[in-house]
Amino acid sequence: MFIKDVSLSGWGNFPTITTRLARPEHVNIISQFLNDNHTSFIPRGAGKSYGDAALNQNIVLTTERLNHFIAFDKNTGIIKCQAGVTLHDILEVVTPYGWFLPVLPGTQWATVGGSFACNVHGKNHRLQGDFAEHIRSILLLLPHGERLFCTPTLHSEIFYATAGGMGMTGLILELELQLVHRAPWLKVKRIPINSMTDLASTLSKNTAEHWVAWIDHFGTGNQLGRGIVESANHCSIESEKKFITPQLQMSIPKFWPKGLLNPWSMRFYNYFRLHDAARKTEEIVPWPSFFNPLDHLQHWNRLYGKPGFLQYQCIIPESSHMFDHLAELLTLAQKKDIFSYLVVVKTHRDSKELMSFPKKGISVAMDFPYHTRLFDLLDASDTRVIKWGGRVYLAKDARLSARAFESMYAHALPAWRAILKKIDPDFRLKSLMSHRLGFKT
Amino acid sequence: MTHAVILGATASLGKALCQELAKQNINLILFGRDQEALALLASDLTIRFGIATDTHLLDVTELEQVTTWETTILTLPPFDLVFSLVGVMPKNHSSQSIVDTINTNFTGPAVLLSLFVQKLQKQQNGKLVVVTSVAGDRGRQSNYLYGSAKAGLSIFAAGLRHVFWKHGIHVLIVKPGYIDTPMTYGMKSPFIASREYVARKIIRAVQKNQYEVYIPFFWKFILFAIKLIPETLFKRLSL
Repeated sequence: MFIKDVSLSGWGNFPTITTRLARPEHVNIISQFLNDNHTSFIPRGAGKSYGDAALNQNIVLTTERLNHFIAFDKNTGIIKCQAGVTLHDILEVVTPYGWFLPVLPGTQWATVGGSFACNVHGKNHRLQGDFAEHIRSILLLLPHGERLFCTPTLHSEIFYATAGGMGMTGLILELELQLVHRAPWLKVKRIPINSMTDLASTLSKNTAEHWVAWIDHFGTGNQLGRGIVESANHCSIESEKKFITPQLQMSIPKFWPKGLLNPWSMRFYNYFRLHDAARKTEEIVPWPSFFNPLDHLQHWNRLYGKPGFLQYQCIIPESSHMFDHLAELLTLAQKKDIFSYLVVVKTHRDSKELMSFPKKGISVAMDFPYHTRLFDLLDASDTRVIKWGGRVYLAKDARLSARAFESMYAHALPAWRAILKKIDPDFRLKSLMSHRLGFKT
Repeated sequence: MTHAVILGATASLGKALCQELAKQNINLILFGRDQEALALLASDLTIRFGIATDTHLLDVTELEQVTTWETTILTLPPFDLVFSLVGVMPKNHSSQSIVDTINTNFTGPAVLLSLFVQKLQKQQNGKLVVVTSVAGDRGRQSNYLYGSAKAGLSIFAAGLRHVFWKHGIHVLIVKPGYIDTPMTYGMKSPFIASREYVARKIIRAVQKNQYEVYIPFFWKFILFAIKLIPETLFKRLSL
């Protein structure tokens, strides 16, 4: 049998539940399995979402072993694969031929299916948009067993309800993507910044494809916003460097003492990161070093110990007060003596998919070690984000309230819910997140 | 350019073994009974590793097809390596399940391998790798149907070795313990080996021309001890 009892959580290790994990190796047994086990279930890719998006108390169906490549056209850069293929697998196959993923999120270990279901974005959202914009077609297994082939124009309402749909439309079996011609090496520029004004000005002056800012949350007062901005462009495709040098990989062991990560060790670490003179201001790096620096530290979520951590990622829509709003969010936490150990800012354009997170503006992602005081802070942050017309990113969420969710996604919910009702009238597809936020009410 | 034949390629271990062989640029001839799974495996191997793959639909329990099997084998491109990874656990206690378990684990592979060895004999060169199981080392209550069929296949393979070594054919019997596949998913045992590990060890054993190998190695000692237990005591154990 391919099902077992497990203790399961998202990347943040909060919440953790016991459930049954099904790991099918072939697609044709899944329909029969779902007929025999008539409970609710949720699909799961690599489990890299942070909260409870891929958790269900009855059955979690992982696509881990549904990870075959189906077709790859080296001339057109169109690749088709099963949903369990990871972004890393794709890059390993396509980079020798000069192809690259147009959108790459913070981890290369996410699956293609999961990336579509969360509609991930990278550090180049202003140019390349969402992951879903580059998907040409999907093959979806609907809850009652029918397989549906969808594209942006065929069954388009189901295609767009699945993009960022958090698994609510069915199990994605296959996807077809359009790749881009890019070298796997990037020229990175690092600019230290000392204030929010610096941050705003580096963004306005930016012309590079990729842009990301790391902020030291321990910078307060007029040091608020101190950090490092990294901007990057891919090297030219003809550059000599074709092969990726093996990356240094470390792994955090299972029983890492939680206390090692605390405000003082983080102040220390941040100080060194800010003042690391050895870090070059301009460098050519292999793609994992720029896109997925955290992937070099395998199981880095274990640094937070058993209680885990939460990430708050939200969009602050573009306006003349955009950076003031960012400052307000950062100081709100500081005033409550809560410090984020990782603050990352990215820029975005408007998104066209139904349940999309990005809007024209900036996003900020903040990692906080788990603490009961956190929930009030994040609720207060929600109030402000809603006031500014922003949203919270569901792929990272573990605690948003249903009320806040209704406000943030009001533009999409009526249409999305109508489609979900048609596809899944019996509510077979459920997750802890769908229950918490009331996806299918 | 000779090929390797994989019987039961779409089995869990089969996929891992195919990948290990593909990494060494060996072109593969894949046999399996699930059309969709075969196609996916073939495309995946070609895209990831650049090798050529042939696929053939074959269900080892369809013994009446034996003459078709013979003809198919004659049409295959040149090959000098044959792996048999066919195996299935009993699904339930029905009589059909008993028939399927014995035929899938013993009769089917034994018939097929007899046909393949005839082809290898003609070219006076070749290696046969037969994956059985530690479960075949002793008749035990917990798994005797699967175990005995595998035991039969082990002895059959040893017999083939005895007959055909003079014809340049080498036979390796592989006895894995628990492997991380649907067969063992959910088992609370510290001894479950990854498919990749087992596949790598099989390749090593083939390269070293070994006769019989337990994977991981410690099963050799475990089974040695189990085989030593006198029957009056053994029948009272819950093994």
